Amino acid sequence: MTKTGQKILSALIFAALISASHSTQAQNNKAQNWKKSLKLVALDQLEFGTIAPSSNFDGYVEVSPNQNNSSICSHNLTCLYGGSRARFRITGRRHQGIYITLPNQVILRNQAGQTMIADNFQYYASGFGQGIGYINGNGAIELGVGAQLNVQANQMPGAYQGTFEVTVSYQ
Amino acid sequence: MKHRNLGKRGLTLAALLMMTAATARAGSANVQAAATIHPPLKMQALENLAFGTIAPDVSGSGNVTIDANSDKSTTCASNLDCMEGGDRAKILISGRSSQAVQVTASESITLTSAEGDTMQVSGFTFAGEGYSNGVAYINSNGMLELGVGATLNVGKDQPVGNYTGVFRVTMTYQ
Repeated sequence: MTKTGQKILSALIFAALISASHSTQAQNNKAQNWKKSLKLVALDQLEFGTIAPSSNFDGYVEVSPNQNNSSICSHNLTCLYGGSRARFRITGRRHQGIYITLPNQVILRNQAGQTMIADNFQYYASGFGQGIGYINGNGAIELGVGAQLNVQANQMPGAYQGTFEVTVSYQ
Repeated sequence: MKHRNLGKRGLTLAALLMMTAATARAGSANVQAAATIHPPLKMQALENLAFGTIAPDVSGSGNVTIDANSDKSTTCASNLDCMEGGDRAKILISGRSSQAVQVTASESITLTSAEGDTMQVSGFTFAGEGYSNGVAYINSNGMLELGVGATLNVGKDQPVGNYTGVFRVTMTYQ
């Protein structure tokens, strides 16, 4: 065993001994909190609703990230059944800063292969600023995600779907 | 020899701890985005609304009503003389089959002659298969034909002329 290896091993053993000698509940909780993995679970998909396009003009549907069943339809479209945001639950270390990354754009396709583009993805979580925020004292936080769907004039009918990825990482 | 094995294990443990810490620092989830697109609603005027040729009363006003339900069906006030040509308008709507559509028309419009004299048209009505209280259903072929009627108010000793005007029909999916 090299000297460096011996030193690392000694340090690990020493750290383990110190840890064992301070076995209060508070410290156990703290250790568990430190070990807690950052997890993201999808609760609801992003739904732009049912839309009747214009024959002559392009339009858009904006789904708000900060409340359910909230969407705005541009004046030249008819939004029949409402859109609603995607929702996620983030769990991880309490009070830890995290970054959130959203896609720039996502392509939605129908069965015939026609497409629409969703962009301007935005998120909302209580107490979060742009791009960064903190997990609350319960070690969990709910994240809402909205976006804008761009609908072309005479957009072909059909059920359009696409998949997007949301990533969270510790600061 | 024992020390060497222990050293390897210690290093392996340290590496494992580092790997665990690294994998815990990020998480991601995939979720679906979805939308349903209906065919756009389209409307085409098949026939204009015509009140026909009318002889006014010199002593009082009266109404001419065009029935939205049937062709060439005119109700003329007793003090007027409706001679010919009254007929409902017809519009053709296309859209998503079996879908309910809300249909509305202008509340009232003004017909104007070349000389600038006017008459008022109001009380626009619709009729068609499945139409009731402003709502109609596009059929299984994606089409819907509606008749449009209205009431023309002819003034006392209304000036002679050819009166025209434009009314708007608006429809939205329900």
